[in-house]
Amino acid sequence: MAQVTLTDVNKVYPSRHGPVHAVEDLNLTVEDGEFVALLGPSGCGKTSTLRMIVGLEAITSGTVAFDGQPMNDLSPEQRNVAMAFETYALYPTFTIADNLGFPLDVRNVDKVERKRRIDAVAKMLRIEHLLGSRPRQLSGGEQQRVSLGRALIREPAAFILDEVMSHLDAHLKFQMLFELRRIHQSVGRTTIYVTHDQMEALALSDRVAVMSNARLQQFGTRDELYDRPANRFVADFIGEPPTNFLEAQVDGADGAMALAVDGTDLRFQPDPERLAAIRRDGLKRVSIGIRPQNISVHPGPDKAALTARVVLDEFLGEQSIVTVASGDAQIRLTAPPEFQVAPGEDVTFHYRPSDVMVFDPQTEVFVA
Amino acid sequence: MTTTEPTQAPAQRVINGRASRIDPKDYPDWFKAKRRGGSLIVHPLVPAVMVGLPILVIVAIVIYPTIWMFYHAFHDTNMMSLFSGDWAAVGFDNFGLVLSSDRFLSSIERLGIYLLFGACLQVLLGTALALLLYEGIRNNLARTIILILLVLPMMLPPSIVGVLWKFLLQANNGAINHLLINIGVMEATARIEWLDSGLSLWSLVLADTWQWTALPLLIVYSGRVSLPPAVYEAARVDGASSWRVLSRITLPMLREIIAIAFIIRFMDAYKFVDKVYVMTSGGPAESSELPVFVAFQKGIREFQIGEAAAYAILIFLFAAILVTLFLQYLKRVLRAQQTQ
Ligand SMILES: Nc1ncnc2c1ncn2[C@@H]1O[C@H](COP(=O)(O)OP(=O)(O)OP(=O)(O)O)[C@@H](O)[C@H]1O
Ligand SMILES: [Mg+2]
Repeated sequence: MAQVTLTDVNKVYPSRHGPVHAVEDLNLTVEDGEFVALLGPSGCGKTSTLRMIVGLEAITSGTVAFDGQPMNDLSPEQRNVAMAFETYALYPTFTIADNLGFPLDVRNVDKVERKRRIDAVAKMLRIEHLLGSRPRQLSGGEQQRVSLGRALIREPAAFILDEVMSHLDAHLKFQMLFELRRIHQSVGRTTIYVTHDQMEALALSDRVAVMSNARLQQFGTRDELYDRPANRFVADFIGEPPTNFLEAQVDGADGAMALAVDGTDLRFQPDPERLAAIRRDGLKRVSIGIRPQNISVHPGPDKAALTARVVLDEFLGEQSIVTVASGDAQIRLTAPPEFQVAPGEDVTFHYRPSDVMVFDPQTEVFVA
Repeated sequence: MTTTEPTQAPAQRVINGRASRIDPKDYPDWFKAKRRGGSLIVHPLVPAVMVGLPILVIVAIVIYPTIWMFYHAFHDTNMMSLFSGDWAAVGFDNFGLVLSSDRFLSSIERLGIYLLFGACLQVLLGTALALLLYEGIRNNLARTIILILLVLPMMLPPSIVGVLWKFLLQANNGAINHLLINIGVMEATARIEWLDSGLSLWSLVLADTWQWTALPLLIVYSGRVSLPPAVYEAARVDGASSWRVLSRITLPMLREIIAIAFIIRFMDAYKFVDKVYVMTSGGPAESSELPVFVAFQKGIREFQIGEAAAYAILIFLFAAILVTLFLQYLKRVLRAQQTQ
């Protein structure tokens, strides 16, 4: 078990079209026993980061340390981490049982113990019936679980899991997420879990590191990512349906300051704390971010109201997502399923001033 | 208001008994362009000649001699009777003669030695070199250069290689003996009689190995290159030692490839004759004769046509069995790859 620390880590791949900067100035500390998800869109450098932690890829600059010990020059074997690969990388000539048992075989675990652990892992991953088959006879999702099992069967310093659920159906995914969470709670081993599915990341992890464009955007708990996203990217990436963004002018004098959305007469009224931050930074224009979940058709004592015309009403079973427009601005909001509106009607919606996020329109950094 | 015209059905043409709705004038332009050159057939005899000539050639140099050989294998044809035309049918006598002759049996024994220490060793050596080259040398340019150097001997005609090694292995002025003396392995006055009866077969094996080791090397090397790197990364993460990776991962994955290299070498090796002819002529005193060389001697030198034909048929059977086994193995490999 180990605390994993990345300090100013960079990865540059040479390529025919010039160097590719896959990871830029990454600083990250995963505490001993912590479950951290590395979340980001495709190609943002997640796998590259993992491969440097595991020791499969040379670190261009910076340090990877386990429990404070620099690991840069150690082989994967010496680092003693278990990795499940995005591409499964099963041993094609082995049976599934041998695939699962290979890490134990290498460590000279005796036959009986090996069989016991293979059976336990196979049972947990629902692949007991496949133990005698070869990888090529398995479906993608089955191979993926074998690959996960080959990592979980070990007792490493850290588990490094690269998109281990991408090929599972939703039902199975929930079961596996539950199992993974259960294992983590019982064994408490440091785990770094890569995914581009925010549901997985938020469901499993203690903290989530959001990456984009080779950079770490934010590292925090679920609530921090939700309520205080570091920038527009994080606010946009985390949360489903995606956050509404509106460009607005800071309007009015100190007493009655409001954010007038461009091309419409909508005026948002953030809470005083945020207004103070806008004033402090001397912003004339801002980007407003407000999550569809935080706008509703129900009034409340601490809520402000606005009116706009309905463009689209999408019924999603547990809730409806209503798109309203006013002038050039479009806003999506959530409504209970029994809420009925027709496009073209006006609807009044309500939000809490404290839910209005304000971003600097130039730097896209979270202001308040 | 408009008169209802019957919708005109496109002209139907019948091609291969099936109705085709495509009018020739609607064929795509590229297709028509290809036909614009007009018909190749300028005379009704042209196709007959074009098919007939190759058939004639095949009949003349393959089919007729084969039938001729089968015929004479059962007759006591030799130089005399061939020219006088009075050969007599002798049944399986020729085969009995061949199978009971010491010359044939000891040539088979030598073939066994050659297959074991020549062909087999070449495959093992080639495999070892291929893996060493792949694992040991990281620089791509260096790898390519070494590969080319290793493959060079294979590009020489076998007879030239035979001549080359005959010179190298001369007892008195040969480079090999000189080398052994110069590096101090051998007394300055000593000589190894490489081409004498004790060593002649081994000298052939040596020359052949020098030339052909590169073939299995190339086959195995290309097989190793195409193995998935991710599997090796997984093995590194799992902590497997390089010996375990070699024995449990690389070799099992290369099993079929190595087997195919074996088979290719074997199919080539049973008809090994060129270097024998050039380097030792089977000698001294038949001490390095291999079956094909014996057949050649019997037929062309001693003009025992009947016996030589029997030799040839036996060798043919051997080859046929080998090829059948090979094809069966290939089929099994392919089937295993589909179901695995
Ligand atoms: N070996 C390589 N050589 C050159 N460029 C590479 C190499 N590996 C990755 N890259 C580049 O580095 C960037 C990050 O790749 P990486 O595999 O880390 O992304 P990722 O976040 O894991 O994406 P995904 O979610 O699709 O798996 C990509 O732009 C990719 O093209
Ligand atoms: Mg990846």
